Amino acid sequence: MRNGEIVWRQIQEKSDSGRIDDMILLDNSLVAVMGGGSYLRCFSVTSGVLNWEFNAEVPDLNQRSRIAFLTMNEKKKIIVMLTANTVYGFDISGRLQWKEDLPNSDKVKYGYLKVDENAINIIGVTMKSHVVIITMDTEGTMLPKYSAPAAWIQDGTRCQFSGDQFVCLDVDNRIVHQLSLQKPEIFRSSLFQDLKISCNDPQLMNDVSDGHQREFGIRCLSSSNRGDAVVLRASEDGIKLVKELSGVTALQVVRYGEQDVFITMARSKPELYGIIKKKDNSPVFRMIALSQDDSVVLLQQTGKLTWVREEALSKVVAIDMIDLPVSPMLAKMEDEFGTNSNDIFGMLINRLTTQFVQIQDFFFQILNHFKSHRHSYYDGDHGNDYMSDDDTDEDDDDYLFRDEFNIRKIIILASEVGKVCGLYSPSGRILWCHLLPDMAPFEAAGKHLYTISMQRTTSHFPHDPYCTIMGKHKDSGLGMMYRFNPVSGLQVANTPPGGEVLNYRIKQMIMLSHMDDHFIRPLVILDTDLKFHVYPESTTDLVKSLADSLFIMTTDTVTSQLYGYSMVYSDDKGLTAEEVWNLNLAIESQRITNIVFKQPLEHVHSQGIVLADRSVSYKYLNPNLVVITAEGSDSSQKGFVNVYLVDSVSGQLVFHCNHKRVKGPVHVVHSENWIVYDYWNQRHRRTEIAVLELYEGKKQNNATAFSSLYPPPIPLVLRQAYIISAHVSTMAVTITEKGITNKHLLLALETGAILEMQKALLDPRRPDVPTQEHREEGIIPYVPELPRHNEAVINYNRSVYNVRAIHTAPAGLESHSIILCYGLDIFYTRVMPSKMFDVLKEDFDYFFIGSVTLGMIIVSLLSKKLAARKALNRAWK
Amino acid sequence: MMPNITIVMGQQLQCPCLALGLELDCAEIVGPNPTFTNRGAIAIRSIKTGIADHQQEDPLSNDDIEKLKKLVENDGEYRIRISSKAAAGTRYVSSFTKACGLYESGLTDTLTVHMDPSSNLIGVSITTPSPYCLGLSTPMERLFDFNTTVEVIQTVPGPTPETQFFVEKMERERAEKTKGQQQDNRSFLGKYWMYIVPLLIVVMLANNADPNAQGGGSGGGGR
Repeated sequence: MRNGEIVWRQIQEKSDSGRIDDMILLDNSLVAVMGGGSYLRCFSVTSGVLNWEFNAEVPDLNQRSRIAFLTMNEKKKIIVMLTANTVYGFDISGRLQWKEDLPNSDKVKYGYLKVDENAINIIGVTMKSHVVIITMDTEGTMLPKYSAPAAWIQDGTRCQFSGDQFVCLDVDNRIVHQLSLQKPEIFRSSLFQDLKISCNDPQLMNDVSDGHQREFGIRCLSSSNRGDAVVLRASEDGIKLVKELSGVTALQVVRYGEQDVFITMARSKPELYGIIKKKDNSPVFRMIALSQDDSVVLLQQTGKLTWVREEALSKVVAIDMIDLPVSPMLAKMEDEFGTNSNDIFGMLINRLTTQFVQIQDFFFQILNHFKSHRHSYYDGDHGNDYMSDDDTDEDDDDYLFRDEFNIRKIIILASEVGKVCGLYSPSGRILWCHLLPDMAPFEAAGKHLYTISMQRTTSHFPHDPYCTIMGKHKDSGLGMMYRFNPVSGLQVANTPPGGEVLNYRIKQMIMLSHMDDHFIRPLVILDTDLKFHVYPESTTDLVKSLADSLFIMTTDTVTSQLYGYSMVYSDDKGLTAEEVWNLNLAIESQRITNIVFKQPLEHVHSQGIVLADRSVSYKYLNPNLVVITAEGSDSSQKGFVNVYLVDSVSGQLVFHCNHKRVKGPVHVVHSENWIVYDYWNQRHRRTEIAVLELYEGKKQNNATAFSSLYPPPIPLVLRQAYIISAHVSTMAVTITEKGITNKHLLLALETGAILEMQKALLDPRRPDVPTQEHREEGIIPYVPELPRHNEAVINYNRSVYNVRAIHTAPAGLESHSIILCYGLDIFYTRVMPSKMFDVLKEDFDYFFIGSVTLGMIIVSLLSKKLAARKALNRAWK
Repeated sequence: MMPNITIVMGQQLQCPCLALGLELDCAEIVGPNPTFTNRGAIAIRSIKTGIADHQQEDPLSNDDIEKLKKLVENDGEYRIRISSKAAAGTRYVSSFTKACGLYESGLTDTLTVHMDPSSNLIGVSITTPSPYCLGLSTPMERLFDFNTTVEVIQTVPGPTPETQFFVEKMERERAEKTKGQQQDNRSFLGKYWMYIVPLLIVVMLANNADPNAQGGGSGGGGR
């Protein structure tokens, strides 16, 4: 509360049954109802320990359940839980006191619960027909029920309790309906005109009230996108206007003593929901607000900001890592070689000045070195708390420049609400954040995603790097893009701050690897009318020159069809797409769940593997290969998974295989010439990991370049499957600068661990009976179960839950690979799959090696001289 | 000119239950909506062995050959479409290759038809033996008839962990081990009798010799 740190956290189920419907705070415990009432859990407020739990049978997980508590007297309190068809009463220690089934629960949606001193009111709604009011006494016995006709009530109608009235807002007709709980026979309606309010798009505002307040708020959207609000009071006599407020985006009515107090918040952009916590008995308020950009803010009554938490970082959907720019000095040096001017004198002067600056910098560095040495003696007492080591970095002016081995990076995150942030990788500090309020992620195969394209990297000084994020417009579904400088977070010239809305829908997009004169990689977007658009437009000529060799693949996940298009340029129509191939994967209602390309950054060091008989088996390295997995269930409700390897240029089906009696979720890793994927085996009830390795054979078809149009013969597919005794939530593979280092797989497990596993364990050639040749090659004998060593868990005790994906990036050092796991938490580290083979050890004896070398040189010189003298003497004889 | 291949399957099938018809059309006009003409039919004799024949409808007319030549000049793509008529409806899949490869090889091509385990058509690809365009011209008489090879590939079962084999291997190893142990047990006495017997003899002799040694000792002491 004081500093915004999380005291405790309990992670609930990922599916619908883990969705929290309602929560109440009761003395020292927090009671939460989840998944439409499937779980009722009570946690201790101070420690977060689960005190008790109750499971109920619920017909429909999606209907929200309600919870309330009833104070009968000081000692006895009853927790009332309402699910879709039953009401439960519990005492404070979680014992079920009574249980009552609700009538007609298949037709009536019971969704409102209010508890008074001596009665429980439950209201159920039948769409477009009527409302049912059930009243119970504290022992759970049902009193006669009433029903009031309400033909106007619909699926989206929002209602709430207000004092002893039940208030509903009819948005379309601008009517407030109210129903007295004392005489629940008929709804009394008040038109907006009668209340003298004019309102566009009205909305009920009290989202988290317990229904004891007599006032309620209605939010209106006026044309200027600034909210206005009215506060109304409902009583037996009808609805009265209490106050009109302007410029208000959030409103909360709380009961304080005998008085109702309402608190408003006014801010132009974000939508704020307020929860007010009362502090002691003084009328001082502190407010927690959750804003539209997913940040949580604690405000004090004076309007002072106490803390801000960026909860958006737990909903990251797209990520990219970029290198930091080189320091200005290095940049100047590179600049000298980069320019193509012929002015000799100018270049000479340039050279002299840069060298002078270099000398100057060298001296400063030496001075700084001495200073920092002294400084570090003071620092030594603080200990090496690695969570707070960014303070020292911040002192440094040049911390945003590349380090020697390019290990520090800037992480670009895009969250689901359209917030783009830049993080400094060594500390995780947020460098900049920008909210794109109208942006929404694309939806593909059940996943939400944005695309982040690094159109110009940081290595082209003096050009600024720039990056483009693409999504769709929240309402219209049209394409949206926002271009920014990833280091500073500023938008590129003539990009509107909210992002640029394109006048077409995006079907597919690709960033080409070719660069134009200004080192910009063109972004090619295919719209739904099969026309290509090129961004930035200045690169269109480059794209036109490449049009003959450009192919693009799209996947229709609804109909399970794959289409391949070639780019055609004609003067009258511009760049258009022409369908050249299609595949039909619509089999037995399967749906496509994964479409995995290779990482474009990846380098493959060796073209083949050397076998024990000294022959070479060449890898099938098709850069256009894409892995498509599809899941479905057959006529007898048994799941299956199909895996297809498709050449995305020619549409050639390279390989396809089928797993029976298994189900997803399938996670795929696609790298070099191999594919690893996992699935759940329904028959044996275990997670299995399968590996496919593709080889061209002993002969390489085309050693210089791979061409999908002239493909090599269908490759040899080696395959094997293994068992892993854990649930995998996502998988990734390490990536290094040159691809020399061994590959390791990173498996994020449901237990919160990130397991590092060497690829050699997932070699399909692991023999059942090892021979001498296998031993010579160093292949491990086959064991069906993969080992799960605790030492291989790279995050030690820092568990990360609900990992959505793992992003890997190469560092400047070949042995290092940088990994970033994101999901509920963000975890960043670097791994060394082949140990630190390119770094000298800390205890490396420089002095010894140096002296030996020097000694050898002296000895060789001496002996040369002696030999010469001896030869001379012999000659004299 | 649009040749159209009908793939007819199930005429000489080993499994009579698989009877479905596939049609194959080819487009040689480049454009957003190419029109396909019948090129021929493919008869799949057996999916398992992948044996299939291509039967051409008609030889190409001079008009068709002109169109093909024009396509080669423009470095265009020769497209084919294949269709199967199943109970659930007609399924289409298509593929393409560079027209020059087809032209220069004298209409020699390989069609690879991909099918799922229940023999639904999922994909096709067309390849020609000489993929690179050399700019050769082919005599007219070689351009009338297609020389097509058809391959059929069916989805293979995915890999499964070889637990059965591994368990057997482990059991075999354990059996060997226990067998070895049993042999050891059985032969324990028999194996080490040559050590035990001399030891026993030595012990017995030592017991027998003890008084002697004592006597010797005492005798020595007496001297």
